[in-house]
Amino acid sequence: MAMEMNKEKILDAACKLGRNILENGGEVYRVEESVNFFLEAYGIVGAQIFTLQSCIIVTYKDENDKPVTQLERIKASGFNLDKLAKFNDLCRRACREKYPVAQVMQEIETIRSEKPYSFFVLFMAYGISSALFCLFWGGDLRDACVSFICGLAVKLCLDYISRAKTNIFFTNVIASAVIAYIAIGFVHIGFAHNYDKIIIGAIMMLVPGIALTNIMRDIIAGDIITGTSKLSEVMLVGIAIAVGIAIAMSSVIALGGVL
Amino acid sequence: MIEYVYPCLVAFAASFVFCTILNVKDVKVALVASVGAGAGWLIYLVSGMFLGIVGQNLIAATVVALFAEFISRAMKTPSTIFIIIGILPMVPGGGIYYTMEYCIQGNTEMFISKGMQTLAVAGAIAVGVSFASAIYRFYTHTKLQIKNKVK
Repeated sequence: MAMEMNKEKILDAACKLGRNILENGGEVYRVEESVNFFLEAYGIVGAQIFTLQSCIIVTYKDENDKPVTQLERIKASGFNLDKLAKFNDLCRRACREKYPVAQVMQEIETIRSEKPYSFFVLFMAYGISSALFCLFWGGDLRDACVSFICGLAVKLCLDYISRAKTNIFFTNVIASAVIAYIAIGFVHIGFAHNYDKIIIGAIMMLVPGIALTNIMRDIIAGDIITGTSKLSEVMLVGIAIAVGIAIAMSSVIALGGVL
Repeated sequence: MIEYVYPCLVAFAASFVFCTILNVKDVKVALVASVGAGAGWLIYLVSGMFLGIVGQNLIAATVVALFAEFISRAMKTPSTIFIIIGILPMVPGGGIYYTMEYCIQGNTEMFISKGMQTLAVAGAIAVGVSFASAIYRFYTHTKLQIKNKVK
């Protein structure tokens, strides 16, 4: 019976590890490989692992051929590459040195509780990188200044609206409408020249591009279901951004402005 | 000369700052990854002399991802990090924007052609990345087999 408990704890640790890798931006194949590695290192051979972007299911058969299953439901995932690297490293270390399961769980908790960058640092990073992406896409220095402001606005929008726990669609509509209003406004008063470059710099922060490329990788790697379900999420974000910008542009036109 | 150097430097700087948003905390990893992004963009620009936009993205993504595979073993960090940051400059942000702008304007012809081009670019990057990981796996496999034969 003691052995039984132990195996269930191993399963739990493996699932938690997989969950954290997935939540912080790991690919499906990486999650499946890590969970499988971990289970095999701890003596559970022949486990079946099925991972989607929204859940991980792991099943193995115990000594009496009785199946044991654990399911992890993942509600939201984003990119936290620092944590991804740490969980990946933890998985490798644990497999190599056969840490006790309790220690693995404790390390998972420690990494989980690490704080991301402070609000101010992120705030500045949004501004600066949208300014730089604006330059990269061919804007001039004045465009970059406006794009800096747009980037700051994106961060504020994302933070305040997501605090109200609305959906991803609404958040992106508001954020992109705000970007477009700021960009068009500054071009209108004659400070900047290319509102398209400003907007492109700032919508890089809303990440449909990175997600789109990652989806294609999932699909080519053979994780078709994950790929297509993520694709619909990205389409949703893309449509939200389009709607936001359309609202801004058409309201400006309706009020007699010229683009 | 400057038209090659300037975009690469900007790509490097933009990717480096974007590392903060993706929560990369190790400065060394962030630096190496963004150097990969800048170098990848240089390859993109240079290959523009011979190829169209899809080919450019394919070549540049392959090189960036190969670089990521090799460096990730050396730095003991998942290759995902180097790939995501390395392909940042290639990500079709502009394509997505112009696609919707044409859509809003009601310019269906340009909307479809730009939309298809954006998808093709995303696909080319993805093919490049998976191509690189296939090459890498083939390389390690062959190395292992040669090692076993020598033994």
